Amino acid sequence: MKEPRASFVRRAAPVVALAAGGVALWHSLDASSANSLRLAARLPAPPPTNTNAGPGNGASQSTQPAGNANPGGASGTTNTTIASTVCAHPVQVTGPVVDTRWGPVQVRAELGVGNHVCSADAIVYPNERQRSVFINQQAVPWIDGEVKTQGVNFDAIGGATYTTYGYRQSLQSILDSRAKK
Amino acid sequence: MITAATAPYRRAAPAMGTMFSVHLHDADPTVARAAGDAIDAFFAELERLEAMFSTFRPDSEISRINRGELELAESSAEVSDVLDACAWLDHASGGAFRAFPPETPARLDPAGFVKGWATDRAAERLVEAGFTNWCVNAGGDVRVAGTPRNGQRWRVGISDPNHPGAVRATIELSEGAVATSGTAARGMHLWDGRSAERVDNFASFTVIGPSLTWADAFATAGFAMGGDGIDWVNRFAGYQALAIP
Repeated sequence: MKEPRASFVRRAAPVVALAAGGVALWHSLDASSANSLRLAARLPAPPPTNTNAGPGNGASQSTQPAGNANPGGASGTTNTTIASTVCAHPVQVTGPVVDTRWGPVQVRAELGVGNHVCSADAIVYPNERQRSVFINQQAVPWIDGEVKTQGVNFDAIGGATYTTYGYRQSLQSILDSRAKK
Repeated sequence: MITAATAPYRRAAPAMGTMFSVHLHDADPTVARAAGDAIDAFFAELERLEAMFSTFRPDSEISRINRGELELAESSAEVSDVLDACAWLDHASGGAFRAFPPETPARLDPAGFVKGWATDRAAERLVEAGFTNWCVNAGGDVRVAGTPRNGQRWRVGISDPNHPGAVRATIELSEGAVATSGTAARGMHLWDGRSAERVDNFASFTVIGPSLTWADAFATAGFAMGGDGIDWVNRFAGYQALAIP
């Protein structure tokens, strides 16, 4: 079943099979074959996962059941003695979104006995410098709140998926025309 | 007054169902023709790939595959590459990313991957033409290289999905990409492959990283995942998510 160089449906599955059960076909790839998928040279290689930090690092799956979380694996380390008793069966709670001067912040925490905070992690945040070397070295993200474009010089506006119809009203169209004299 | 040294050469044109713009910041007016040729090559490459992948074009390879007229084994190398990448993403995201829309689960639609990848491919034409300082905006997904002026970083504003016309976040970078998924501008066009349902988890979900190919793909997958998507994206070296609720 494990084909080391399983190139998806490239040279194998007929179209009929795809039409009949495309989803099932995609499920049939296991993790090892997915890792060894040979992506062509002209396709940028998928980036490796970080080996340190990041609360999601320990989990190989995209969903993390509350009971399976790893307190202390994130930014803050908790007292292990307390964690072993008070935090034996934490309850996961998600706080409200709070607007700060740096932007929206939302925290997800795990509470143990007596509402002891076993772990806390921002799930919505304007900036998390420690998480990415790339951010420290290559980019500096921050949130300015609701900054209007007037008086702020942007080189590009991202975020909206502009349709051709709506483009003329978009921020990017201002940039396209501003310096074109 | 714009000086010759910093005057950008710009063009905006529709492609892939959205509006693209290309800014070349080291285009001297005396070589404007070279800039024009490079941007021509950029859009020609986009058009070539769109003709291959568009599900709106009956003669595209994807449409022909979906009608059973084209064997996957006979498809072009680009189509094979993209489908391989979609399969990888499907697995890496635990099934949240899936190139089969919930309404038509037997029909391939790799659009969630193609735009970013195609933009990276087309941007290679700018590099080949010798341009080092440029910015490409693919309908809100941005890829930059070099500097806009005097060694400064590019300043990319992320529009506020809850307040049209306002900017919510600012990202400065000298090399890399900023891709955003959201439903504010285009409605419920994103889905979670695990539940096979359309999703609206955030107002917008932005990924910053070195390549637009993967920033765009991770934004699509991360948006579909919901709260777990942020941590999931941040596991990949060089990539970071920023969600606006």
